[in-house]
Amino acid sequence: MYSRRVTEPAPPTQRHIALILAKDLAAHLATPMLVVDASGSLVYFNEPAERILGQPYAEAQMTTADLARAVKPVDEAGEPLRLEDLPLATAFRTGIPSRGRFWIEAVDGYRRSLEVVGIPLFAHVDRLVGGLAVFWERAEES
Amino acid sequence: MRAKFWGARGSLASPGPDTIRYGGNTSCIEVRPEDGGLVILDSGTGIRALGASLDGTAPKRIDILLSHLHLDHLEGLGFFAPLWDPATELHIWGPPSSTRSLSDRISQYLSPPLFPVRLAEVPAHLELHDAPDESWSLGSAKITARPIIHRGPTVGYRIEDAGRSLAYLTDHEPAFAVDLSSVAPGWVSGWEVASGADVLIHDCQYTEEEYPDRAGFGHSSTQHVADFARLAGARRLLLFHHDPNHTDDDLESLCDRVRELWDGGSVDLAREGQEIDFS
Repeated sequence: MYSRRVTEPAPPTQRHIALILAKDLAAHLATPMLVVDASGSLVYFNEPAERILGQPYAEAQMTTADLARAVKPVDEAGEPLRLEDLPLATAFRTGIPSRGRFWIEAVDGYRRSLEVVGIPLFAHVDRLVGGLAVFWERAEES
Repeated sequence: MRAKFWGARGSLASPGPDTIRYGGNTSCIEVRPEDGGLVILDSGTGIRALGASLDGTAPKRIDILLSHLHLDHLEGLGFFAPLWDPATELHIWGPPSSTRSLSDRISQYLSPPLFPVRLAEVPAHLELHDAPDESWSLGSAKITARPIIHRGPTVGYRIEDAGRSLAYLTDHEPAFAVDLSSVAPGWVSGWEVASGADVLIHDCQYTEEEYPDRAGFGHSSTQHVADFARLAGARRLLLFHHDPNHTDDDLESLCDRVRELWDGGSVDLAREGQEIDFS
């Protein structure tokens, strides 16, 4: 029935070149950025993002939703934000960039105020291949 | 499946005494699947001689797979004899663009003042297609196109027929965004198209010494193509898109260098007139 044994790892699939290039862009930026694939899975965040999120990328091993839950985002009034209302989730839902301003409790325990822009990546007009979240820490409020 | 090279040069046609052994015509490969159909990879200057060779034997339907629309891959199209035969049904496939149709982009060249006749005026019945995301069939052959890293929309093609596979990545810079010596295959441009191919035809425009001054131009060095062949697990590698400034002797030095760097399969220079039998 199935020739592949369950212990045999599935062959890797290739990432879309838009994601390959986005990851490369993020790796060369001083601006914090994370990259997700079309399913919303976290595929990379850069060193400036590691500093803000309080966790090295290599140790994250979590989905975007897990990461969002881990940093406990709250609005300016201190009310918890729903994951689906965060900028990147909104960008995926609407197909256009989305901006948000909120607080997180980073994995290292520090509370930080962020400005975040979520950007959907379309390889063609109708084909979402992933997304970016670019964020800035509002130093004057942290 | 059989294949024949009608042009293996990159960037600019380069005839002359220094390029006789490997040829000066730009990219064009004739592919003949088992069912006898005719699939052509790119329409560089080599396609003129291919068209002439078909005299009286051209099939009614011909499919041209364009990797991208840079001039060295397109400029022979207007001189392809079947284009001027009203009995020809010519299907042209190319990389999708989110802003302009394939017809618009090809017409930019095949129209005055760059060409005397407009695309709409050619006698052949033309059908233009964006290469789809899903694999498709052309007769007995299965075709897969995937976007690859080059300047502007570009695809690599994989042709599978009768259990054999040919991967064509003519203008490709997989090392542009990653370190090929350490990256996981899934993060390498073109890997899916090339994986396990019986024959991998790949860009090898530069020496390792030349590449740093040309990084980002969309082409590969000897080191890159060796790394890519290793990642892809190709059985046979044919170096392609020869730099117009490289003589035959230069090309043979490049080939020797790739053989030093990768011993996972056979390595040769693609040569104008060369034929490959996949059986």
